[in-house]
Amino acid sequence: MTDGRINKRILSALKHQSQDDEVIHQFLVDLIYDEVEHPGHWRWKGSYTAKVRDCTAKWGGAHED
Amino acid sequence: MRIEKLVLRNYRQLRDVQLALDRQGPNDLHIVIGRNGTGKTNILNAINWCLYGDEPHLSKHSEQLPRLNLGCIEDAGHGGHDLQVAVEVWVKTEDGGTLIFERTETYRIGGDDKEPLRQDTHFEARVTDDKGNTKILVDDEASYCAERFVPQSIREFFFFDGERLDRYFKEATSQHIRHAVFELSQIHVLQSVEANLDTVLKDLRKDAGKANPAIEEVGDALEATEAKLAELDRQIEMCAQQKSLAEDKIAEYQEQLRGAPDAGALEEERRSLDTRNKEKRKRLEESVREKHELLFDHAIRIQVWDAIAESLSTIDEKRQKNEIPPTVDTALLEAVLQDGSCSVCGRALDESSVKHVGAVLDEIRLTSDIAKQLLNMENPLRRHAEKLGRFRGEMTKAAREIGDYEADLAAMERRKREIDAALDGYDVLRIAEWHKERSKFEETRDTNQKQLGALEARRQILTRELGELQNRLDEQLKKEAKVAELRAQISFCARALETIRGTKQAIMRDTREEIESETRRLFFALAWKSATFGDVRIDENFNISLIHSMGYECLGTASAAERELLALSFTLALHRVSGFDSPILIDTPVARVSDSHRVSFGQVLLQVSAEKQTVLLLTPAEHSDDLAQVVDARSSNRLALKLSADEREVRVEVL
Repeated sequence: MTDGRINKRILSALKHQSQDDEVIHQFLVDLIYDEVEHPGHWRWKGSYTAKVRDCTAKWGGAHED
Repeated sequence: MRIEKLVLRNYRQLRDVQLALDRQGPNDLHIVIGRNGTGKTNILNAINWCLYGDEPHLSKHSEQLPRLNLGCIEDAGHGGHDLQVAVEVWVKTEDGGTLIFERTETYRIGGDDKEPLRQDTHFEARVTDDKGNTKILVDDEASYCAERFVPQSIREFFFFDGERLDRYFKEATSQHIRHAVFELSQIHVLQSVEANLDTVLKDLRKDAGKANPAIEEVGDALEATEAKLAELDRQIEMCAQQKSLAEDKIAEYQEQLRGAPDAGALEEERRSLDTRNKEKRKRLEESVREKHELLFDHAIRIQVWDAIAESLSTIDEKRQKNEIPPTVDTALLEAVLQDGSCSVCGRALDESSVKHVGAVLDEIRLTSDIAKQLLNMENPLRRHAEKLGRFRGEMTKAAREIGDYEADLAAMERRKREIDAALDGYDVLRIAEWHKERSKFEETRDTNQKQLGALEARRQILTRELGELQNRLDEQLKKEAKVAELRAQISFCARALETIRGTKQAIMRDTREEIESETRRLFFALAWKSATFGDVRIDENFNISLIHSMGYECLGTASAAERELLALSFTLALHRVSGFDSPILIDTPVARVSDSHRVSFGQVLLQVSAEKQTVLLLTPAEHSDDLAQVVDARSSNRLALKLSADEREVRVEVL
């Protein structure tokens, strides 16, 4: 486990599946950590929405059609 | 992580017990020896109670007793004051810190034989980091900490009783194992993130739809299709589960039936043989009766056959000699005698001629009568001869039929004896029931397999429709400038969802493959008869198979020790692949292992303990001289549980 929290293979597979998209990768790592630290947290939706908003801004123009 | 110490106060018969489990030497192996009733299993219960608040291994006898130690209740005397049950589990973390779990339960002593009244329960985790800073976590936070040590839902893969290890593959269905693998590998975390992201994506599409009715329309259609797809996925999952359960059951019956005859089929064959036997016997009796009737009908003919044959021979002979039919007309000679002249030349007969004609006539009259009689007899005699000829054919046929029936009956009797011998010593009714049950589950499996095919086909269609709707939505979103930001968020969210799904699929596949390969590696590294076995396989539904070197599945015929070894290998593989490094505790690990395999199994546990803390709770019988020779010298600790004379308290002795 990484930091005793997340299985190493998950992080490694996530890195591979993100295909060098660092914003997507970091966004998902954060969500997974949150899920491990606070499973079934009742305020998850607010946290997800805020993260999506922030990360979309970072993801930005390169991915705009 | 490893358990450093267990502290138990007033917990059942363990009134004041400390088990120090510090590692000394290359093997992190700890042996606790105690007779039945000294509380070995309650050590397992105490750990569970401390970490999760329940006692899953409680015996029926212990269920009747209070958790509070009986001795301390008695010593408390009159009521009015409080007593506490406490269990501490001291854990050393990977980063060098210490984690102490403590659960306490306070009781008010009622006095006058009244039951102690529980006042309150407290659970806390004291976390001390490598710099010596301590943080106290209580209730949910403490529970969360315990979950990080060993998750409650999969604790049975860490804290075993030996009996369970033996029944491992009977109890641990593929669904159960799959669930454990998902928990241990944190696939459930990915599933949770996936579900949440999916919800967020739907919300974003709804928001975008509010700005443009066309978007809303397509969004609704998309959502409806997604709902259908989710329902379909649920059905596919259920179908796959049903199929998997059926396969588990088939494997279970397969194991039970391994080596046993197909009692149902044999009984059916026996019944069919009985029916055919009756029919054949009836036909045999009929044939015998027909033969007897034939003999009776022809008895006289047979008896006079020689005379008939002689007579016919005489007739044939006489016919050859032209004696029959008679060549001289007696009426003509009689007319000659009566007229006294020859009727041919007209000459008168003299006395000597009359005499001669008279003598000829007498002779001819005699032979002619005989010839006539012979001619009269000939036809009936020939009919009798023909009948006797047919009789021979019929007799041969009847004898052949009787012979055939008797041979068939003998073969049937032989087969019945073979069936009886095959079923001898088996519980025929139970075996037949197992065969019936197996057939039932085979039918369930096949039905679900067909259904799965249909559902998968439907899923493909829906997925295509979903893709088309997604494209239409994207087109609508592009047209709508006002939703540019939402559009970006939707794209981002969709991409993240795709990534997390891909990750989940990859982890599920890789985890199964690695658990299979690791179980195989460990099993063959630990097995003492490795040449007997050819392979260990784990299929996509987490059904475990042990393959004999001859190529057949042999889990059912493996010894208890070999089954335990496979269970242990699988558990260790689960630990290793999932990255969990928590200890393994086994209560009575070799109780069901035969003497010849105990030493081998002890060597296995010794090898395991070189990498993982291993605590064995043994009875003195299990801790036999042979096993002790293998494990004692290499163990870090050897502790004995001793019961007090009044059987209410247990002390720990270091051996």
